[in-house]
Amino acid sequence: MSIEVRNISRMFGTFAALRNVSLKIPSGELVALLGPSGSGKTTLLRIIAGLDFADPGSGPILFHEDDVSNHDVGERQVGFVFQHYSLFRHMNIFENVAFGLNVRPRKSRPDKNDLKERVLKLLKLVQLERVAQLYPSQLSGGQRQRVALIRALAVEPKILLLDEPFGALDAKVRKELRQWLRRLHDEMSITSVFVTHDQEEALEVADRIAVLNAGRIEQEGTPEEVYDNPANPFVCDFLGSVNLFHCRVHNDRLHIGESELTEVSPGHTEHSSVVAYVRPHDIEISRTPHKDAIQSRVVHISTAGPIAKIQLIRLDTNEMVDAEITRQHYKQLQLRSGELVFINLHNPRVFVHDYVI
Amino acid sequence: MKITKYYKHAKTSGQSRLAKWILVTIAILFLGLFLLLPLIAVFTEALRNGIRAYVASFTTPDTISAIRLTLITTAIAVPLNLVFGVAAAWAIAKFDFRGKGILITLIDLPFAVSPVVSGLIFILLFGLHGWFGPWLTEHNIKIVFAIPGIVLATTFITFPFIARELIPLMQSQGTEEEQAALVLGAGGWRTFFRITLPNIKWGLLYGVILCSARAIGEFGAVSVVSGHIRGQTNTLPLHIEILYNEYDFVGAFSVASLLTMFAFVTLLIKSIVEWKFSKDLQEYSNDSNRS
Repeated sequence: MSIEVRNISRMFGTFAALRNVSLKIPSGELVALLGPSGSGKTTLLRIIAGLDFADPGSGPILFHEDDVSNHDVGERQVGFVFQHYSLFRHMNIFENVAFGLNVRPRKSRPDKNDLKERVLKLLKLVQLERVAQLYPSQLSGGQRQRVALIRALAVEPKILLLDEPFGALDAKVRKELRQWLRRLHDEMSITSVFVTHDQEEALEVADRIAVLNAGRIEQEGTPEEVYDNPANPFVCDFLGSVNLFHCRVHNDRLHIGESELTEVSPGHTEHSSVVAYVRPHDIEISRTPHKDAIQSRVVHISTAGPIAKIQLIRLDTNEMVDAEITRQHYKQLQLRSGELVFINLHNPRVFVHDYVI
Repeated sequence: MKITKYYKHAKTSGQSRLAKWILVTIAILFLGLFLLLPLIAVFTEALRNGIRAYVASFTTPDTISAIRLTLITTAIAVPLNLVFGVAAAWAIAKFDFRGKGILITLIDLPFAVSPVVSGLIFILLFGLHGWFGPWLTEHNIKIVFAIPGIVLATTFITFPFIARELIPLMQSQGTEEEQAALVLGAGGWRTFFRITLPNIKWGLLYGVILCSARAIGEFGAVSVVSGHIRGQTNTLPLHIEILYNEYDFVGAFSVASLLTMFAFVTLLIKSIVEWKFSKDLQEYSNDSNRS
């Protein structure tokens, strides 16, 4: 079932949580709402769920072309997974998962055996059938999250909404659970929206990403689109680390001081002051002196992990530059701390207006 | 470091041992003087003329009527406050609205005002020369110097107990579980009975016990509105006072011993509930710490 919101605004007192936000979510996709805290992503999710309401004058909320903006949360038939799980602490795990089926009107309520079978099947799906009789306080964070997920799925919702689903878990469990969520989504093919502030999580799991900032959607697209073609400095900066270079554009090339650096995509007009955003893995380090490169000194090298992280300092401006190279390349270069090197830039994203980080 | 060293040192020194014994002795003396001695006095005075006289003083019509009136008052005031208290706590803990601070202050009002003043308020409102007095006489409704007045005064005095107990508990629990129930399709009432109520049951019971204890023992406000009509508008505390003023010491202390025994039972239930309640609270904080 597709979801569409049009021109949604939401004020909390004088704070604008959402400003005229419109978003289309195609049926069956897994979409991430990505943004820093206070960007309005959770508010948008809660408005879609019916736990919060848009200000008067906002547009409709459409589930498969039906306007549900006046429907109560219970009528929208969505599954919602809360950030802190919100399991019913006085019920055991079985009762928690069965709750949504138990509160159905008598007509559509499954009979006792059917209900038991359905709940046990779900518990099996997340490998928790052995804890059915335990209480939420006896479970680990990862287990609770999985219970919260199948509790939401038990009522067979048409839409699944997840609010920072892995935010409270440690890094390893997080990674496991998000891959598991992706697989689950592929099996059930239910339209899902999840909120996250972790760009890595969004890039890895989602089919599409909507990047939010200060109550607005800055960009919406596939992970590749938003990562490779950020619409503005904010998106570029939020999706991973980035280095800033103040330069000039001249003859379709970037210039810093006397050095003539890499080409920029055609169409950039001559400009005396632009900012180039360059990812650490797009910094090229060379030992051979070159006129058209930025002279820098190696400050720190960290080789633990799959890539070598090199920290450099530019000799012209004393600004820090982060570079990432493969370990193989690092071995070939045999870099040492304090050494003079020459860097060049690849794939710069050039924006005229500076963005304050 | 320094502090622990000093502390260790103090622990073993003779001086601190002396201080410890002095403090313990003072505490025991105080307890004996102010709690144990009066307790003993109540029961010795009640049993001064033997067990037969003790039992006989319960069976006088006036005492029986006082017991009945006290039970009726409690049986009305406590359920009323149960509903009011839960509703007020629910509104304050789970919703944001203008005037919330004023509502919280108003709930505390009966604690702040002297019971005698509370009683007088009802005389001013419903008494013969009060605001609604003429209208009430016209329609032949008696509130002051009758059972309705006693119930009203008791309800007013005991109003804060349940609400005060529930507000911090419900605030600490938040609204996420209720929201989860709503999303899963449960209606408002079902959410209340299946989610909210089970989560606050021990706090609620604790509030009910405190509320009942106060409802049974309330003297000041009830004394003002009751009119002390024997056999009709005397609750147990008022009855004790009358018996005592008439030099019926055995009678007075026998009835007092009844209230004392009720206090014991209340304390016992209270400790059991408190123990259960704290376990629940602990579980909750463990829960939120871990998540």
